[in-house]
Amino acid sequence: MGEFALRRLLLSLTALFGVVSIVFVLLHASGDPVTLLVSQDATRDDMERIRQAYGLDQPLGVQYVRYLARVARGDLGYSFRQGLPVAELILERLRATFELALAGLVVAVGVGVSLGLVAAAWRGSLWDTAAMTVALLGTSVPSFWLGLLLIIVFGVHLGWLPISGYGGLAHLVMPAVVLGGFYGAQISRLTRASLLEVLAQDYIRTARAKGLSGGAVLLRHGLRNGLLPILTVLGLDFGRMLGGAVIVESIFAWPGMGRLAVQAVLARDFPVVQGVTIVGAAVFLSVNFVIDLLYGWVDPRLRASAARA
Amino acid sequence: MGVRAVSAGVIAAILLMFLGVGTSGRAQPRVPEALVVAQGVDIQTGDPHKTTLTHAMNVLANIYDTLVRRDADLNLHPGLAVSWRAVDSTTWEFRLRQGVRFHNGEPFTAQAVKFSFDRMLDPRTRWPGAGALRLIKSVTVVDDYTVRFTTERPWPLLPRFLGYYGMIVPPGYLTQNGDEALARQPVGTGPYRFVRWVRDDRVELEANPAYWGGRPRIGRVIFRAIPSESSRLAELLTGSVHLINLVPPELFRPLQLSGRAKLVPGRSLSVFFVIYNLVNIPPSKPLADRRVRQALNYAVDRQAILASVMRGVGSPVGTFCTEVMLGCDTSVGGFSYNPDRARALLREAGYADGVDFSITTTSGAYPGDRDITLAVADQLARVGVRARVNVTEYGVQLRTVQARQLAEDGWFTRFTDFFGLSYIIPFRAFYSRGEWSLWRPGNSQFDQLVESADAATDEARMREVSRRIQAMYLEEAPAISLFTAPNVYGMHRSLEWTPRPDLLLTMVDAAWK
Repeated sequence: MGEFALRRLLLSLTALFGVVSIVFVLLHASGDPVTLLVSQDATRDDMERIRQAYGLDQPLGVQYVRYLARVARGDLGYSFRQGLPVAELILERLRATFELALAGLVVAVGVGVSLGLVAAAWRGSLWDTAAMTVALLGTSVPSFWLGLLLIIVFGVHLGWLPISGYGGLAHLVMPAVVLGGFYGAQISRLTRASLLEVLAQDYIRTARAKGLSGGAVLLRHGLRNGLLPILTVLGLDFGRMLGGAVIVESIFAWPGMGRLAVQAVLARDFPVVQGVTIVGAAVFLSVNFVIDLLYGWVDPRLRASAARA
Repeated sequence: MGVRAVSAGVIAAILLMFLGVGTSGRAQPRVPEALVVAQGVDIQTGDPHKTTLTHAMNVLANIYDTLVRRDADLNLHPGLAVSWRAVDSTTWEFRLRQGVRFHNGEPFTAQAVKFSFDRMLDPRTRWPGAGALRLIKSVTVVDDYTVRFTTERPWPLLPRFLGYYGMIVPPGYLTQNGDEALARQPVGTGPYRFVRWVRDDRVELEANPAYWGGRPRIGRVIFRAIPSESSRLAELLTGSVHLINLVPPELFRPLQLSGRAKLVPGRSLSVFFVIYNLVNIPPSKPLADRRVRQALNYAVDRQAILASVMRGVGSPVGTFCTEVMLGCDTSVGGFSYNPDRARALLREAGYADGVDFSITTTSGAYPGDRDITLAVADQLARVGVRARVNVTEYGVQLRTVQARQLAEDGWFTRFTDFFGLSYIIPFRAFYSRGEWSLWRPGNSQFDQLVESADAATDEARMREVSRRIQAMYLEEAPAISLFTAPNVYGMHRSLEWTPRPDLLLTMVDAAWK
């Protein structure tokens, strides 16, 4: 197990290094950042001053090595635009982002597993069709559309929920539904497929033969074993929710990392873009690392095959 | 475009619901407890010497004061300075207001003024606006309540510049706590005190009871950052937000129809242009011929574009300035819509078969940008100009223009002059050495005129030179001048506030009806 963990860790760190490097190259490939650091009323002198102040006049190689050294120390630099440490800016948003992603995960699991369960239990029935139609809608309706729809109905028309902003639980409901709904729809299809596969196994037949009730078989034997692949997907989905909630955050004015990232991109605030991407990748890799460990722990066969590989 | 169009559709749906329900429904409290203002973007920093971005300036103008205050007509009034006079041609003296304190209790004196300007002009501060005040050579303290500004050359317009730039910061607070403290927790002398800032969510302010201009009428102001236009409008319609700025043209009608809020257009210091790419242009190219450049100007029906794309908000611009700008002579006129004259000029220049013309534009960087460009292209087509439109990313466009590597014949853009002086836009966009100028090598006579406007020793002289720049601009036509960019607000019906051309959201001027 120890070696397995170490292997996985090294793999994650290599991936992170790759991310750090690629981000650096891509951003500098897009041109001279100074032009966009200033507004249209800046003079040439202003631009030259900024270029020197941020070391942008140095050769790219020097900038890269300096940057790697700083990142290794956990220093993500200073925001061009905000004059504050990038790490601080990210930390501030991390909380809101985690709250939203967690709530989204709860919605995704709640919606996904229950829809999948219904569909699998009543396979081929009207319930199955209904549940899978909902799932299809969930994956195909764009999130900005669903978000605006919810705003109209629950925010403007009924006035039950606050339209946007960050605050109590009420503020969390609509963004979580929009964010989690999409992943929930995917999970429901996965749950259904996985359950059907498990339900076809011999031990299920044995359980049935023992005279256990349909519900008990479905939940205790079926769902428990069928959840394994769902766990992996949830790990990935959670990682995506942490990083990819940009549209949801914009519609609901949620102060998360996605918005920080978008604004930084628009403002060409290099250190922030780099910082958000690196932290986002680190979080994603950590979540996957934990899922890997969990998986190896749950299923010893995986450890063995990883050791052979 | 897709998302925007659908959003507009959704907004229409919101309104249909409202109209269906009727407006008698939920009664809003007549005077909300706090005034909530929503912009698309949060402030980036609480330090006024680190940014010039409009969204930040809009909020910071409530916390900080400048020496000179401008009203909504851009007239100058005493601010932290009670009076000012020119001692000689390169020295301005400002008498300061006494008994003013910063929000942290620190007294405001001449020292604070010197400290603030030294900080703004210090290259290490990296203030992007420093270029505008580059003519200030030094600031000296005469006594506790008198300062003198020495300028590199005569600069009669200094007080005008100080009506927008030059926010005064507390020296004690900064020396003690450092720059980052001010970025997180702004401290000024202004009408509102900083309370709380949740990044990307809200900035909360409360009235400064000791404000030298009298306690503001509205006690609490919250600036919220809501990126989505439709969400901002929805919040305004439900009454949880009371003022939104920069309403895009596609939302004008829905907002008016709603009956829940009012649409208030303000005057504008922004002008839309299609600027020709004249960098080292060979004489064989059509645009090298002044008559072709003029012809394209005659070919554009500005009123028609205003009516369709801009929903009737905005006014055609003759040259490069708007009527609010000091020195802009509106009697100079401009190019009227005259397709026959356009065709005749093209024939005269030897292009009876028309010309090819390509424009780059951004999409969503300015309200209506892409649609305006398409409309312009469509109108050019009617006089035989085969216009092609390329949509590009804002940053890419600025970069290619800056590097003078624009591949197209022109670029659609907007220029804003927050100082309200007519010669600033030509100085940046048409003066051959201007940061954004694509008129190179340009016209030396035009360049001289712009330089002498900048160096004018008095306002009258500046007005005169400015009028001549306008006339020459019409003659040379380095761009297609279009119209003013909209400066439109959505407001709660019981809020009273006059929009400012410089876009600042100065809530000290606001009141509940």
